[in-house]
Amino acid sequence: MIDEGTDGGHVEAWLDAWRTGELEPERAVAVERHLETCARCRAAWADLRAFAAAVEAGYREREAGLPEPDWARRRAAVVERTSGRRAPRASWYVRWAPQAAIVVIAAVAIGVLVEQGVRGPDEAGRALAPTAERAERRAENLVADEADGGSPPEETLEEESRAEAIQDAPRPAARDARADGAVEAEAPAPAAPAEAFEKAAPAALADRFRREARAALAERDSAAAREALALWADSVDPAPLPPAERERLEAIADSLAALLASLER
Amino acid sequence: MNDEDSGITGAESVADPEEAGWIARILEGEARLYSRLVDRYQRRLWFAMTRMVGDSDEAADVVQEAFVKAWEKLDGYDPRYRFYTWLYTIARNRALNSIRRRKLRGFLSLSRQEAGPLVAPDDASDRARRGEIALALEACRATLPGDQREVFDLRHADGMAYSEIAKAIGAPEGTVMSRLHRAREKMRECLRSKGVTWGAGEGSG
Repeated sequence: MIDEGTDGGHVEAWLDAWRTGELEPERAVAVERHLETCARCRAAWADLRAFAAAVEAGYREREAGLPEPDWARRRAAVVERTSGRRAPRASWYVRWAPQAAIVVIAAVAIGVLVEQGVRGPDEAGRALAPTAERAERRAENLVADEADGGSPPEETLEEESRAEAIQDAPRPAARDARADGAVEAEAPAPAAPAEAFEKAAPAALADRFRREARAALAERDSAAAREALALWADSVDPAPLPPAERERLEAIADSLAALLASLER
Repeated sequence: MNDEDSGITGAESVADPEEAGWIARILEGEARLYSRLVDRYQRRLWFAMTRMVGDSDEAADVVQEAFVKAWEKLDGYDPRYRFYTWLYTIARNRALNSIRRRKLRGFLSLSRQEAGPLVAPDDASDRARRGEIALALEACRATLPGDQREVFDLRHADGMAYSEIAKAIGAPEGTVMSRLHRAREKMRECLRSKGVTWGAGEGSG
């Protein structure tokens, strides 16, 4: 695609990047040499320069009349919400707190089942209901947040329906980090079927993993349940949370992790 | 098409060392330095968001929220790139959501959304104040598909480098080049059809 206009050695395709000094040195030299000998490309260059100048003037003229916000007030609003607090430091725990919370809740639920010696899917379902519901609600909120405030792929502008069908594949590395830190999962889970789900809609994906997790919990297959819950969490993008919400989730994760540790002892 | 193939140097997108220093200090706890980044970029980002959402008040809200959001995820900032480029991606997501929400609510017609006008339609005196190129530019922008309009705006109004645009919209540089090429061809044709000329006149087609 970028070779458009370079047929026969012409350099039209490179002129715009050359205009702003963005070409790699060898390419820039080639463009300059070519322009010396090619009238067609020189004309293209003159045209591009004039076009860019006219367009830029057009934007300036159009935007000069825009009513500008009260910048001091806008700045103050940002400062008010960011000062007096530390910026977040890189930490998997903080970043992944929402998902970690879900996985921890699931692990605790499994722990509770084991502790209580629950038998049979019905009994397991009853014992798990409150925890599972809570985890589900949290995941649903995350899905909703994602639909509302996540990172849509770039196609969104052009064709939203397509954008809705495309979503990042689950992230095995991130899941591993969470599992290690939050629940100390035993054996590594089987590889995520990322490729197979790449094109699935996020909500459908989350729903599928949620059903799998439920089924696995009902069957007291804790390894499968953890895997499915991790996939479920991964099918939801880690939408950054407001600090208060994050702190709350961290606290929940902390207490649940402690509870889990005591159960496993 | 990756960066190596594009023949374009990524040097333009490399973070400003001064800025990188501020961000490092902010992450160490000097929160007050963040206002320098706000001062430096809020106006530029507002213009970009106004082009995108077509409403200057809404754009101001998008910008304010983007700065708060950027603060919250500042630990995820990749210092190899300019802060503005990263900030833009955050603001862009919010702008896209804002456009989508508006569409869902049906507050505005689809055509107006698609057009992304620089400002709301206004009175004759305002129209007289503005030049012919400005009006033609706006009309022609409205004919571009959204993805082409965005790269055209970023390149010719915001002044981003190719490598920055690629980063900002999450597309390979080759895609940016071809998209921009198509946008420019359409804009040339459209502006010419509206009687706008630019120095070298004849053009390269």
